[in-house]
Amino acid sequence: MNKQHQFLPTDDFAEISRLWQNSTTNDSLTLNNEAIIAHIATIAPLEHNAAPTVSKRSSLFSPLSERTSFMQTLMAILQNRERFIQSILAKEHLRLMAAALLAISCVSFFVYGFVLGLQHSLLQALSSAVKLPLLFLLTIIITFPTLFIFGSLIGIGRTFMQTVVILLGGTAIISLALVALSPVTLLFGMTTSSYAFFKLLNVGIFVVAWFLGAAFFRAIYAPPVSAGAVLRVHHGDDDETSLQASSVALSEEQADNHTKVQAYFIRFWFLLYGFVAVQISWMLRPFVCSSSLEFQLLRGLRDNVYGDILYSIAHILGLR
Amino acid sequence: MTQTTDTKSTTGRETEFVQLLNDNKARIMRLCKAYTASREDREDLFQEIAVQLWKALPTYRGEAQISTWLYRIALNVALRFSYDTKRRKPTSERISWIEETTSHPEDDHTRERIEQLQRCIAALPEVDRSVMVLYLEECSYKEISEITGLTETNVGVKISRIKDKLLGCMRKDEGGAV
Repeated sequence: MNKQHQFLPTDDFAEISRLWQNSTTNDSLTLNNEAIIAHIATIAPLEHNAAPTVSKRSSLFSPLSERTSFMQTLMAILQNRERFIQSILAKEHLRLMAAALLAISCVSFFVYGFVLGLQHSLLQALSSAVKLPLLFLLTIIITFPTLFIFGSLIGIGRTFMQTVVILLGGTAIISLALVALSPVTLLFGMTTSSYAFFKLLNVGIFVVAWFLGAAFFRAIYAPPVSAGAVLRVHHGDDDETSLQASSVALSEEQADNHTKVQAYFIRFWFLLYGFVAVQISWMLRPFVCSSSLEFQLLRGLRDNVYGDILYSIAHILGLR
Repeated sequence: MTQTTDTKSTTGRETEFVQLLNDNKARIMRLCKAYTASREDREDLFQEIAVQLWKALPTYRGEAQISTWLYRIALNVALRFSYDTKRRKPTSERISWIEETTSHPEDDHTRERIEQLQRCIAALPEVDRSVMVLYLEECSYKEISEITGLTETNVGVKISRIKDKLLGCMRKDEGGAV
């Protein structure tokens, strides 16, 4: 138990360690052994404690147990981000988490797609409900190789499954943000007659959701932990304090530069993700439809998505 | 005859458990102090940890160090205890299990610094506090990682940051060097 720390404390911290150890010592405490024995004797015999309070595998901040489920993952992603992140970093239950996140995303996109299409007709609602999950699945499939291979090359160091889970986590955040905004979409879909306004409103909603997903993704995919890897190299080193201190300082500087490259890459990749998503959404359109038009499953490839957005803005401003 | 042997064996285990508790009482008490504000709460928490250690004793199979097993349970109980503080009813009839000699051998200044350190540790966020307590208890990164579920890399980064935070707090409180 009485081991040396891997990263030897500075003199100041050695003083803190000493204070801590001296704050309570075995000599300053007296146990009432008789009272303890009398009490534990009333507790069920050891052999019959079928359900121990703490299992061997339990860990304080690793959130998702072997029973990781749809709801657990959902609650972890919404309320306990730290637990969720620690599960990913600890590489525990990644397959289950991936399945749960995929299910969360598909259900949420289905719900929002349905709300989106209701502005036109029930048929359009069903069509959009199916097409919206498809849009994000295709985007993930197309952009994943870039993320994983480039990420590995620049030393982000996430495994294949970690990358899948983090990407699905970001996508799930986008889908949940859309569900959260679905009442707004429903209200305007039912009350506004301007197709151009409704389309732009949804562009805005998707951009907000995309930003939330990007922030989540960035926080988990490459948090600034590179310096920690250096600290770990010194695991078990007991001597050469000054050498350790200088190498840690140098490595932190290198880690900073490294982190900048990673941050640029993540920005680039999420822009790519958005760019691809926009193109696929153009291929799969319509998701919303003017009430003057008949229902269409697909409109085919023509025009350009960015031209269409500009056209909508011009239409609202009365320029066309 | 069998019954007599069983009784003896059970009593033996209880005695062994009390010995384990005696060997580790300071470690447990230091941890209790990081998670409680009053003496009563501290004693309650110590008692709760002791009971849970006793209940969980069969789960210890010697695969991990006894200290790792002990800290994992103790921290788990302490965290739950601090969550439940508001809902917990005061213990009406409690026979004290532990008595702490209040007079430290150190001088007044050291005593003040210890109290200051405990205040600074208590002010840390939950995860940071747990990591720092284990670090100050001289657990290795691997042990801290096993107990908390954090990766070793993350433990290293956290410790580096928490140390700065703790030193800053100590200096701020004292208005000078630690």
